[in-house]
Amino acid sequence: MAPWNTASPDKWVDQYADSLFSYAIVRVNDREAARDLVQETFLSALQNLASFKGESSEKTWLTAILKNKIIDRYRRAATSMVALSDPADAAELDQFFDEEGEWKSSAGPSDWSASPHEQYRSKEFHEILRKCLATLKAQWRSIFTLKYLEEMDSEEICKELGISASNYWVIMHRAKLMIRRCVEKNWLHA
Amino acid sequence: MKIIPCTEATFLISKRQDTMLNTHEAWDLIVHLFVCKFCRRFLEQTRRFVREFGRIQANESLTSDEKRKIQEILNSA
Repeated sequence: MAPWNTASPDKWVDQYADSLFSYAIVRVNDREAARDLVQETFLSALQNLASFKGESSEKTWLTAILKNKIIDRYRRAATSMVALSDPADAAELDQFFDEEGEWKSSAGPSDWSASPHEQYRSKEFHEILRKCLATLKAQWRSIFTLKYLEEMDSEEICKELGISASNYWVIMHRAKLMIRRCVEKNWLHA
Repeated sequence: MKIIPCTEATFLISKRQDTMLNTHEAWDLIVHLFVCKFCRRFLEQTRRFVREFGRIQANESLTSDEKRKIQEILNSA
């Protein structure tokens, strides 16, 4: 019996290139890299056509391949950047906190309660999140993306990227401080 | 009673969004949040935006030229 769902590689570029490209660009924030990832995804899929069982849609299958390629890319970047990134760099915290460890009055979070909840679901807000994510250094961005876009476990992320749990917590903390400030600046004070 | 500084409180807030805190950490954080408006805002705001990250969807396209090139590579593979 023929499978009810067979792959049609000749239609992939027309049907899926843009949605895969959009998926990739949010996660790698680099047009050229995102395009190359889409191309590599199609090539891998072509070589592994036999593994497409038709249990999921073609799009889901291709997205899963792309997702693995993105994680590979993060992993490669992480191993080449270990020496560059010192998460214990205290100077970063000085932007936010005084010598007592209290919020500096200029850096303390403003009141966001005036913006209605549904605004957080808006395209405009999501655009700001993307922009703010892009301001993080590459390794932090990888970690943050794996956690909050790919929804991976922290333990899995540490294993994939070869970082210690304590570095992970430090990086996450700093990343959230940076993103929060960036969102506030671009959203509330725009 | 000693109250932890905001550096530590925000660290614990961030950690709690990801895993369980131990009793000691959880207690330190509760006490701090009780007295600190800025950290209460930090908690509320980060909780709100980390949740939104999973919902981001871009709507971007490759140019027809880029698609044609990819198609050529696939055809020759």
